[in-house]
Amino acid sequence: MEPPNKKTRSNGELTLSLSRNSPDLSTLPDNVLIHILSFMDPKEAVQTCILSKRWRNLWTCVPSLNFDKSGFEGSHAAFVHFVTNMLLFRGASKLDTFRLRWHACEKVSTLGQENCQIHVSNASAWIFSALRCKPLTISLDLYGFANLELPHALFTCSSLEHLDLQFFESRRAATEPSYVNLPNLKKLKLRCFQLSDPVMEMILSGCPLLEELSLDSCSLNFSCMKSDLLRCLAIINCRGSGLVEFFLPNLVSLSLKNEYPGKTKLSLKNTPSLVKVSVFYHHFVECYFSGAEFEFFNYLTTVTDLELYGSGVKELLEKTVPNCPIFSNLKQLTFGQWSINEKLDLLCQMLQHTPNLEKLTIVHKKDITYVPKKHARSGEVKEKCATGQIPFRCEHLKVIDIRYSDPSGAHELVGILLQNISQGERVRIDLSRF
Amino acid sequence: MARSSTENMITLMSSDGEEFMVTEKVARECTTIRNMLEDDCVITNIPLPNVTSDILSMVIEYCMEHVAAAEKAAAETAEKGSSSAPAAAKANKDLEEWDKAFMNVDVYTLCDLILAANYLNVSGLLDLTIQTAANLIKGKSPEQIRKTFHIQNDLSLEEEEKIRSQTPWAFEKSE
Repeated sequence: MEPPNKKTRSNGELTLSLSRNSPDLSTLPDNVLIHILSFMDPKEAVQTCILSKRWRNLWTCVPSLNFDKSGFEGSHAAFVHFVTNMLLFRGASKLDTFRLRWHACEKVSTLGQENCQIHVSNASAWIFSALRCKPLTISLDLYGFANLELPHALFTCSSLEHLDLQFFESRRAATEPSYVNLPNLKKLKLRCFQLSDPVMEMILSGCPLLEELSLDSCSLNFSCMKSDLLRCLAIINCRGSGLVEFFLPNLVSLSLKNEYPGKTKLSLKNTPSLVKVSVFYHHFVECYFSGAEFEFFNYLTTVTDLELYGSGVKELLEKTVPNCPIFSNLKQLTFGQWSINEKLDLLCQMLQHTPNLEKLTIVHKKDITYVPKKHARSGEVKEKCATGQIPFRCEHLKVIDIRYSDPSGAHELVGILLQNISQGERVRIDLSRF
Repeated sequence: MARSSTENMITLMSSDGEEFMVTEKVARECTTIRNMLEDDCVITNIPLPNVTSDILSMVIEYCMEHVAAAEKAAAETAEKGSSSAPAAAKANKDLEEWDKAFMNVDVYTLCDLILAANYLNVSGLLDLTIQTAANLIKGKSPEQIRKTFHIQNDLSLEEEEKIRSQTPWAFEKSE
């Protein structure tokens, strides 16, 4: 720190013109001081009340509250005491954002069932007080709150634009909302929810402005998803058993990620506006996409940006690539997280279907599910490629970006790509190790 | 930074009468100036009675650096089809480092910059300076905070005690 009583300026000759009083925190307007407080830990923000008369009540006006137990020094009981009082004494002053991150009952046995119940009722009460201040954003990240019944008012709060509800254990279907009316909600994220047809329909019809929906670790017990406005959808590690049909005419971006085997089938027949699709499957599931597998790609012909990750994708490609359509809009293609060298024919075949591709990204990694007996076959494949039997022509291709963990495999990959591409001299290749 | 001669130049005048010639693009980083330009597009000379020359030169330095970084990223994307992720990450990190070095100022200058960023509405600079001020308060005792920011304590000892006893929940030490 500079000595507080000495003014240091970079341009010494300009100091002559500074005849006004020295500025310090006292000269800053209230809204700026409140802005500073909102960048601080809530407890430290409240403690500024004894700095001077001016600071006495500034903390009550902070429009963004972020309560995080992991950053709080003290027991669960001390956390409860602090949050309850802060919410009580700040009153109903304007609140834009309310965040609560509390992993309370990770070990119910050590904490006792009774204490857990107390925590649950506290969390409910806090959410309720936050809702009275007409917030724009509510974000909950709760571990050990399977029994928490979210207040009815949370699903009828007209000011809400963003709602992020993350739980970490399966919730009971009975605790799901029974009525939803969020006229201004644009973004919704749900984790560990039980989503039946009536619940899903209630959410989509009750949120007429919803543009982004993310479902993480939810049970997909519904058969269709209908929304005219939804633009972005992410489905991550969700479980389900039946066919889910999407009727999403304005869906632009779709992200599917699953680390576990599952049985849900997704139908993309009614998603004509898709532009960006990302698929990350560790396990391939027979008929993951409704109908014959190749249909999956038939519905992606409008896409400009496609990401295909994981060993599940390798199997999907094996079954679909020979029959897949021409992706005439595709400009960016990303492949990876499986041992691509083993299946270079798939890669080259896929590139035969992407005439307007501009950028190819390959994340090259040794496949953990690699089976040695396939060696002979992959050798054959390489030979095939090497003799130039799968040439591809991507006239607009400018960049091949390869990220690798194993340098020898990456160099082999580059060699084969260059042998098969018809205009190799115009393509720049970026190699980076991860 | 290469600059074409046809680019519109704007003159900004500080409270102490110093003139700064900047490109329109740099000036537009200040939302307040951008709004003025949109209201009256022939304006070329803008007096800023609330900002001194030394602080204005720093604000301009910040805006130029951020405009240059954005232009560089855009040029790379145009040239290569799209910028590679590692290169973009490095550029971001470099800019962060630059911001950090830029914030190596005394408290008076920091408060001046906050006021200027607030008045000119440069959102990136406002967030950067506010975060820096919040970090300076972090972990300090009330006495240390008063000293750092020259806050006059106009509370008597009794008044301070009273506030503490009215808000005991905020001052409890963790066990």
